Amino acid sequence: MREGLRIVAFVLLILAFFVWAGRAVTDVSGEGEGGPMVSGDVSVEAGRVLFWGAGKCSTCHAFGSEGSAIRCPDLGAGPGQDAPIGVRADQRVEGQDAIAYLVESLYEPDVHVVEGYPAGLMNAVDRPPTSLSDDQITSLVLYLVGNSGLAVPDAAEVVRAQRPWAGRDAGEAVAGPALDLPRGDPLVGREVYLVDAKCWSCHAIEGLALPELEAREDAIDGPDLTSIGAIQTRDYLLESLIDPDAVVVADPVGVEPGSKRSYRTEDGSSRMPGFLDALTFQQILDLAAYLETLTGPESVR
Amino acid sequence: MKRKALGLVIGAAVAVAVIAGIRACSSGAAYPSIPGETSWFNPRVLVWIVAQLHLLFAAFVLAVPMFAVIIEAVGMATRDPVAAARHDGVAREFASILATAFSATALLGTLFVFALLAFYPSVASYMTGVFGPSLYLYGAVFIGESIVLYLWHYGWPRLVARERRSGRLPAWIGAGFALVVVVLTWGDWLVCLGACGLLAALAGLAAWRTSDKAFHLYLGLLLNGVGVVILFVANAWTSFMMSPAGVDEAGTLVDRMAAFDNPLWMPLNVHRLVANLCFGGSIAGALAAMRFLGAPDDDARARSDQMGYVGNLVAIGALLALPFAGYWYGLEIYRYNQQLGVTMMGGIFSWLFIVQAVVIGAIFLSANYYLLLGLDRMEGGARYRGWSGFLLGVVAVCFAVWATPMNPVMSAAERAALGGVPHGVVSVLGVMSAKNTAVNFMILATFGTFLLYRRGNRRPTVPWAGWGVAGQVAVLAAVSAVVLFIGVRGYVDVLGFAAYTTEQRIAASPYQVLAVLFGVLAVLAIDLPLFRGAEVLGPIRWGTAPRRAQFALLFLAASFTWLMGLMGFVRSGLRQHWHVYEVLQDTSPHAFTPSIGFASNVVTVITLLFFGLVALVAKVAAMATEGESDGS
Repeated sequence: MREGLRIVAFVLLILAFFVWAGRAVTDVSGEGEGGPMVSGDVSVEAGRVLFWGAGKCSTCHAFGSEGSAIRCPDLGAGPGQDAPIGVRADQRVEGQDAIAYLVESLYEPDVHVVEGYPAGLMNAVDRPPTSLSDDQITSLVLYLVGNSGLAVPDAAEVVRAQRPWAGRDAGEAVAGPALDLPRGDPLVGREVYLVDAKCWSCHAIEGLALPELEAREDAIDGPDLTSIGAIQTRDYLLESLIDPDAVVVADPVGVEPGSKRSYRTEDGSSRMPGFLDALTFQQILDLAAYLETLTGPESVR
Repeated sequence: MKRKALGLVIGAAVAVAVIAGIRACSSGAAYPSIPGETSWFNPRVLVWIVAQLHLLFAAFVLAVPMFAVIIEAVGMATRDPVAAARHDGVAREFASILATAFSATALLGTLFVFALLAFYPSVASYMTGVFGPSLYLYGAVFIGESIVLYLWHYGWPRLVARERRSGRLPAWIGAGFALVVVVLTWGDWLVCLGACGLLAALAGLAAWRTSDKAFHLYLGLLLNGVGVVILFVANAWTSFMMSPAGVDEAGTLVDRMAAFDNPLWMPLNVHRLVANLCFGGSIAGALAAMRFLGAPDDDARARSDQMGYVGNLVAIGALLALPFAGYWYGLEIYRYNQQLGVTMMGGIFSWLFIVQAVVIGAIFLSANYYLLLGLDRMEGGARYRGWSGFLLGVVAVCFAVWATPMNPVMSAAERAALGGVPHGVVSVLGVMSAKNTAVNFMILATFGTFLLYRRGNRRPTVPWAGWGVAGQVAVLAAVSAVVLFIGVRGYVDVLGFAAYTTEQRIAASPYQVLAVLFGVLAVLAIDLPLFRGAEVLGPIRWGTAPRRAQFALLFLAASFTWLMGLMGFVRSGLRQHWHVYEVLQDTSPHAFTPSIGFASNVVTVITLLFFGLVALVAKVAAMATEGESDGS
C-alpha cells in the first residue's frame, strides 16, 4: 500500500513538471487561453484578443515589450525598430498610408516583404489556416494602429481599404463603394426574432425561452443558430435575411431536397423567406445584431 | 465477487455514455452540445480524451505481441533449457496482460465511435461515406485479431512440444512460393491481399507440420500481422483528415483507393509503428517495475526485473529509430502542404516542440540511467560504470542543446537584459544544425550505453578481440566526426569546405542520420561475433536492480505516455478549424486551437486516466491468472 502511494506520488510529480513546462511556454509565448473566433465585435479590444489569441499573430510577431516571438518583425519599437508598426507602416510605401499598408499586408503578405525576412513566411490571414473574417481583420488593424500610440482610426476607413479583398474567401470581391451600415440593437433584435419574424418557428437556439405564440405556417426544420455568431459575419447574416438564396446551407446528410428537414426547395433555392418586405430595415439590422451575439449556448439571452 | 463489481462499474459507465450520446444525437443539431458544458467539459474535450485513451491502449496491445513473440523466438532458439524456459516465461508474462487490455481497447474504441457519432455526426457521416468498405474490413480484421489473440494466449500451455513432425518441407516451400507472389504483386492491392491470405495459410500449415511450439510462434506472428493491418487501416482514416486525396474540391469522393493511400498514410504508419513499440516497451517496463516494487519473494522480483529490462530494451531500441521516422513524417507534411509544415514547426505549434524536446530528453536520460544502474546487477559491470556515466553526461549536454529554442523563452525584462534577441550564444544552438547534431549524438551515446551494458558481465575470447574493439571505436569515432563536421559546417567553413547555405544545410542532415545508422549497424556487426562464446564473468543477478532503477522505468512510461498525448494533440491540432483539411470545415463553437497550457492539462488528465485504467487492467489480469491457478 505504501509502495503504491509512493508510485502514485512519483507519477504525479513527473506530470506536474510537464504541466508546469506547458504553462511556462504558454505564459512567455503570449498565447491566449484560446476561445471561439471573435466575430461581429469590431474594436481595438477584439483586435487585441485576436492578435494574442485566435489570430495567432503572436506566434511570429512580438509587440515591443509584449511577447517574445522573433520569427517575423517586431511590431513595436525596440531593438532594430525605431517606431511601432503604426508609425512605420505610414512610411513604408510611397503613396500608401498606414491603414492601406497594414490591410494589404494582412491580405497579401508577400507584396511588401520587410528586408531580411523571406517571402512566403506569412500566410494571408483571411485564408486557411488562419481564416479570419473581414470584420476580424478590421479589428486587427484597429489594434495595430491603436497599440502604436496613435489615435484609433475610424473602422469605416479600414473597411474601405479592405474593399478589394473583402469577401474573397467566399469567392467574390465586393464591388462598388463600401456601405457603412449602422449597428442594430441586439435586445430589440431578440424581440424581432421572437415576435415579428418568428424565426424560432424554424430555427433552434439552445436555451432560449420561447413565447407562447403560434408558429409560422411555413415552418420547416432550419439550421441551428445557437453558435451562428461564432461562425458567420454580420455581412453574411444581413445577406441571409435579405436574400436567403445567396448562400443556402447544405442539407443534413441523407435529407432529400424539398422534404421537411431540407433547407432548400427541389429547385435548390432556400426555403427561408426574405425579410426585406416583412420587416423594416432597422428591424433587420437589429435582428442581425442579435444573431451576432450568439456564439454558443452560454451566450444565449 | 470483485470481478462482478468491476463488471457492474464498467457496464454502468458504458450505459451512462450511451444514454448521454442518444440524448445528444436526438437534438438534431449539427454540433450537439452537452448541458452545462464548460471549457473543460464539452464535446471536443470529451472526444479528445476518449480518442487518445483508445489510441494509447491500441498502441499498447499492438506493441506487446511484437516483443512477446521476439522473446518467445529467442527462447526457442536458445539451447540452454533453463534460459529457454525463462524467456518463454517472460514472454508469457507479457501476454497475460494482453487479453484484458484488448477488451479495454475495444471498449474505449466503441465509446470513441459513439462519441463521434453523437457529437460530430457530420464528420462521422462524411468519413463513413469516403471509407465505407474499409469499415467492414476493419471489423473483420478486428474479429480476426480477437480470435488469433485468444488462440495464441490460451494455446500457450498446450502448444509446447518441440518435437518435429515429418512432411514439413513441402509446406515451407509452398509458403516460400506464396511469399514470392506477395512481393511480385505488391502494389496490386487486391491480388496482393489474396496472396497474403495464401501465405498466411501455407505458413500456418508449415508451422503446424514443424512442431506445436512453432505453430504457437506462428500464431504470435499472425497476431502481429493482423495488428499491423488494423493499425494501417485506422491510419488511413486519420491521415486522410490531414492530407485528403481522392476527393474533389467540394469533398466528393472520386477515388477511394487514393483516399486510402493519401500522402501522409505511409509516413504515419511507420511513425506510429515505431512509436507504438517504444510506448509498449515503456508501459510493460512500468508494469514490471510496479510488480518488482510489490514482489512478495525473490523469484517474483527476478522475473519482474527481467521483464523491466526487456521493456526498457525494447523502448530504447525503438526510441533510437523514432526521431528518423519523425523527421520523415515531418518532411512529408511539408511536402504535402507547406502551410501545414509552417504551422507545425514555425507557427502556432512551434513552441510545443520545445516542450516535446524537454520530454524526449527526459526519456533518453531515464532510459540511459536505467541501463547505468543495471550494470550493478552483473559481475564485472563496475568496469563500465565510469564510461556509462560519461555517456549519460553526453546525453544530458545534447538534451540541453536540443531543448534550446532559437526564439528563447524569456520575459521582456530578461530579453532586454540580454541585449535583445537573438542571443549571441543561445540562438546559435537554437537552429537545426545544432539540434540535428545533438539528437544524433544522443542516439550514438544511448547506443554506446547499451553496448557497455551488453558486455557488462562478459569478456570476449576470440583471438581478434583487440582488433574488434579497436574497429568499433574507430567506427564510432569516424561517425562522430562526420556528424560533427556536418553540424559545424552549418555555421562556418570547415577544413576548406565552405559553410552550408540554408538549402544545403537541410539537404545534409540526412547524411548525419545515414552515418549514425551505418555506425550502429557496423558496430553491431562486429559486436555479435566478438562476443560469441565470450567468457561469462558471472550470472546476471536478476532481482537485484536498485529501487531507483524501477522509478526510472516509471519515469520513462509516464513521460512517454504524456508525449504520445502531446503529439496526438499536435497531429490533430495542425488541421486547426478543419475536420478534413481544407475540405470539411469545423464550424462548431470549439473550432479554435487551445493554448499549449490547456493542452498540457488535458494530456495530463489523459495520462492519469490511462495509468489508472492500466492498473485496473493489470489487476483484472492478475485476478484472471489467480482464477486459472485456482482452477488448475
